Amino acid sequence: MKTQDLTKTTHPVIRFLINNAVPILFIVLVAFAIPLSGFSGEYLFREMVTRVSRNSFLVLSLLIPVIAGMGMNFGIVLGAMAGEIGLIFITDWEIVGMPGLLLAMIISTPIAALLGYFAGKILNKAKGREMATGLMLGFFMNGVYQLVVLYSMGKIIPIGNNNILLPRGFGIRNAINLEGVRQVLDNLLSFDIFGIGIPIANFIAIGLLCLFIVWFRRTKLGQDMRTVGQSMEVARASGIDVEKTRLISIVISTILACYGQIIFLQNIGTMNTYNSHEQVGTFAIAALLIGGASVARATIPNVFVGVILFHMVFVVSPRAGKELIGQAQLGEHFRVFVSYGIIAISLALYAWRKQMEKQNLRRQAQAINREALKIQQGSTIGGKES
Amino acid sequence: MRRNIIRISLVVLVIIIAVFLYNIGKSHKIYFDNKNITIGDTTYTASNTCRVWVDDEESQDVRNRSRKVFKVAGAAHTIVVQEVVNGELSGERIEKKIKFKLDEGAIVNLPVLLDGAESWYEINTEI
Repeated sequence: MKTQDLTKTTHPVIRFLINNAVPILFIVLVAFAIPLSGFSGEYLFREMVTRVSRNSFLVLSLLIPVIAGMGMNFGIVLGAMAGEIGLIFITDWEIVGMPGLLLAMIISTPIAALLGYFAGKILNKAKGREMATGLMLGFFMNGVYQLVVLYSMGKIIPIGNNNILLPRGFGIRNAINLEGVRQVLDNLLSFDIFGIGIPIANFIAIGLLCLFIVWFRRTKLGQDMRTVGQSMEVARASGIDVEKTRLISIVISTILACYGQIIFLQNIGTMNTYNSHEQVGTFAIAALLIGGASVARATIPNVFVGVILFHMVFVVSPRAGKELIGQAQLGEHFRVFVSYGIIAISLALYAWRKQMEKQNLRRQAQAINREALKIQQGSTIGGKES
Repeated sequence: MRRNIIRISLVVLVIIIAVFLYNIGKSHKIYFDNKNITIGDTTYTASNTCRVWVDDEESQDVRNRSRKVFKVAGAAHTIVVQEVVNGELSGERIEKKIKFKLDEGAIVNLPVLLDGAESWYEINTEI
């Protein structure tokens, strides 16, 4: 796995500060914003429990492509769309409760796998530019999704529920009420701590995914992905099918993102048919990067630190903005700025680090050449003298 | 060959699970009518408010000449009905079982049910 070190300093504190600059920056930001916002500890704890249980699954789905060296998978938007299609069908068929949620997952799994397969194929053709390609894929598939949901559903794909159909008889309404599956996973197993409901079933699902990731890294396929992530040439020389390995990582990530979106939307209880998936990738990636991950390295602790910090900023910044300047809108702008800004900073840092590594390698090669030349010249002169 | 058999078996298993989930998760509407109704030559008269329980759902009071609806999931359900007089439960507590096929709902006629007649509900596929 690639090192995250940005500095050659040997002082451990400085190294730690530099290597964890992003999360530290956000901790400082949150530490200033919390007192300004005036929110109570209980309120913030409740919000964090809800948001961690709602978003962690989605963010965890980003880890496997990072292992395979494909960076942040902006293509999770495709998985989110598949999840939404599953939810549209169960709402149409009026399947409620946990069976409804599980059925939505079953319906959307093949769709997510298919979309992941296509995404993986395309990303294999765009090696080294996976993130930009993934982002574009998300925009492209959004168009296809809209075509299917807005024109095919009710016309070609049978939809019988008038509550979700547009009055014209085809196309799905802008917002779908998910009352049949609203918070069914959250309420499946939950208990109160100081009056705050803890959705145990959600956390069990997240825990199982963490265990799966830990186990997966140790499997043959996981090891292959690590090798591919470190060097595709070395992996290919060792007999690993690089393209297939990368493709599998994207398929797994897309399917997990599909489940993540279903868990996310059951918590919200309403689905914004044409917008819910749009910023899923951006927000999940921003959360992971804030947690201290980089394009080349992301761990499970990065996910939880990132989700907590990112959503803490989300919760406190509008109120802090209002208290500070008198306008909540400023805080709202700030949090959008933060999510996009952090992605930009992380990508810039990654590019800078890569460039530095290349320069160092070039300097080392030049130094070795010079040494070799000196030795050669020395031996030639010695030969002439003798 | 063996790998393909395992894969096909898994797909079949997932489809069976999906069908099972569809059946147990499918929601049905049960309407409770507390209105005068004539079936054949007999007229059943609604007089008091009825309290209705369906499975573990919260009970609802169906007043005279009104209708209430329960949305329930699954094929088989238990209905419990008891009259309410002056705000107090009174009379016999009647328990009935009802079963649905997919895409079916029911209209339960409470006066008929309280009278003990057979045709206390009608299946409706359009609700």
